[in-house]
Amino acid sequence: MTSHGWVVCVKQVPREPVFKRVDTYFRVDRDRTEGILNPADRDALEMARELREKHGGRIVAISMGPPQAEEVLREALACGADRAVLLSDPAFAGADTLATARTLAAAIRKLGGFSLVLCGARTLDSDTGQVGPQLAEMLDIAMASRADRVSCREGSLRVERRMDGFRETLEMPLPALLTVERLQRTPAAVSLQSLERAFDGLPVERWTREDLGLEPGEVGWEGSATWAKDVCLWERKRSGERVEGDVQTAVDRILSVLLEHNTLSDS
Amino acid sequence: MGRKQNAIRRTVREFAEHRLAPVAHELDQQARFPWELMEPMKTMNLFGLQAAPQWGGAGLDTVSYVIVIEELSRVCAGVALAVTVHNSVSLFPIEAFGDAEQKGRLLPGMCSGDRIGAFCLTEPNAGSDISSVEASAVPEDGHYRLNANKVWVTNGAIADVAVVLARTDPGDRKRGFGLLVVERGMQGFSVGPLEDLCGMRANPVAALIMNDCPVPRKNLLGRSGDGIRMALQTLDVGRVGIAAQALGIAQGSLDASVEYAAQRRQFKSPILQFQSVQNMLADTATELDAARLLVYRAAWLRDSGAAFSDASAKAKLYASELATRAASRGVQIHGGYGYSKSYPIERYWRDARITEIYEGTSEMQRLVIARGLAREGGG
Repeated sequence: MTSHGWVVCVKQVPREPVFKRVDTYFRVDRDRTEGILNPADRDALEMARELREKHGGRIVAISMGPPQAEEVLREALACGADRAVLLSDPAFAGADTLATARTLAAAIRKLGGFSLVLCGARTLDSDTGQVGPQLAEMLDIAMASRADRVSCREGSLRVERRMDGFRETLEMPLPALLTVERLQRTPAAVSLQSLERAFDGLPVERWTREDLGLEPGEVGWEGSATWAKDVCLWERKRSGERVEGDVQTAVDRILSVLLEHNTLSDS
Repeated sequence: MGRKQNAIRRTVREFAEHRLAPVAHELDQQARFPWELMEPMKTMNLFGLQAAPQWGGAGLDTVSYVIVIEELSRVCAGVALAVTVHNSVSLFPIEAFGDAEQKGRLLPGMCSGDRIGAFCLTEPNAGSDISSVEASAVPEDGHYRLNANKVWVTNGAIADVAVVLARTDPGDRKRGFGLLVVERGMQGFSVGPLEDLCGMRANPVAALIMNDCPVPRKNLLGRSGDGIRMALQTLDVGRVGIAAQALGIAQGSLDASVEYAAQRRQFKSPILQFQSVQNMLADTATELDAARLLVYRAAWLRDSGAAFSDASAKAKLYASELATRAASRGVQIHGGYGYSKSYPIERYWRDARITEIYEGTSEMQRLVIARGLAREGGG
């Protein structure tokens, strides 16, 4: 088999809650917040590292974001990526998940020769979980979401994931795409020597819209199908009610509350 | 702060919060070193932070170094102590004053964390007065015969390599000192019982005893007669590390205090809403910023090759006294719970106090600073 290409899509996410940092268009103001490597993407990198250890090949980390997103690609290099590509262009600003997936897909096609694309199953900021599946669709490859264990044999992939109350094992052909669930174990410690090297020596390539051969209308704000209308704080409220009286009255009251909240089906 | 330094801070904080924090209380209570964390600590290059990559070090600048120690201390000062002492006063003098053979022989094992280092200056009758050290290393055929009783040795019980200040020239009472590298396993080298300390209990502080210990001549760092100068230079570097440690303890105390004050309710309101509590927190936060600027300045001066002795004395003096203050305020904010071992603030309080004492007491820092003033003012 030819050498594997493990592509990991990573995102810089704000450390602080997003609602504090939105501009007038309800887009996250990424200049005013400290960005970190999205934790699930870190786990996707860890999974790629394991695959590379067993099957060889090279890990390419890609990210779409403003120039400062280069930082998380450098962290990805320190975590073991062999190559890092930043997709950065003012035209990419304001992209929704569709425009983001389109941009990433163009970049992955340009990279060529990949076996597997790995994305974090969710991001800390918007948590849509859409980019991975959309990307698989655009690349026209098989996809499994929320994988937490993977092994590779003879051109096919065995993927495990946790479902409600059971574990599922899937088998799929390569190339494919996985979205990776937070791993149960702590990722391997990062050496400060490799961080030092990643920040003070290794290159991060920068690709623009033109490099990807995309039209202005396909990317960013203009290429998006959705726009945020409002962002507000969601408050989790818990309320309780004390049910008094004899057993029959209490049971009737509890049943009526449960029915009222559609907790029980009336069939 | 540069982007690299931010990434270093995040990386170390992740380790400290996820791996170190869950065991910090237990390490303190059982007075034990976290051997179970050695593997990730080695991987992170915590035992070769500033050493050159050719020896297996991470080659960090001093500002980054300070960030690492600060972040570890924010969670567990005793483990941070092991790291900073190993790096700044044991590995550093070997890399700075050792010859090529010594570096090639000693540094790779130390950088990898396979061999832990210590620095031995203090004796029962010698501390701040460094020239009253009595350890004697009599030159004999091919080696020094070393007799020394070194006390309060940080990392003492786990050290494989100890840099020891001793009299190497019996004829020169004033300047006849040298730095010798003593290795575990040498004849006549033994470790005393663990000190039962008030704080920093995760660190196995112990006495190291050298009884007619034959130390090969090739283990002398630099020249005989240069011992005091090299030791003082080493302490300048060590002070920056301890200042960073104090900074971390102060930050940890503040974080714990804010968290507690936000959830503790009295008089139908979180105590964080009360002005007397706010005042304590605001004072700590302000002084913490000042301390951080002092510590980072000392580190930055060292990185730029400038004299940093005065800056590191000021940083260590201010940060260590702040650590005690911040922890003490933290205990006060926690009220009765602050005096209980069910919250970490009492550990910070016990850990903080020693930072005003070791690697130069606050009084000695003031002396260093005042001497500088006298030199400038005296013309």
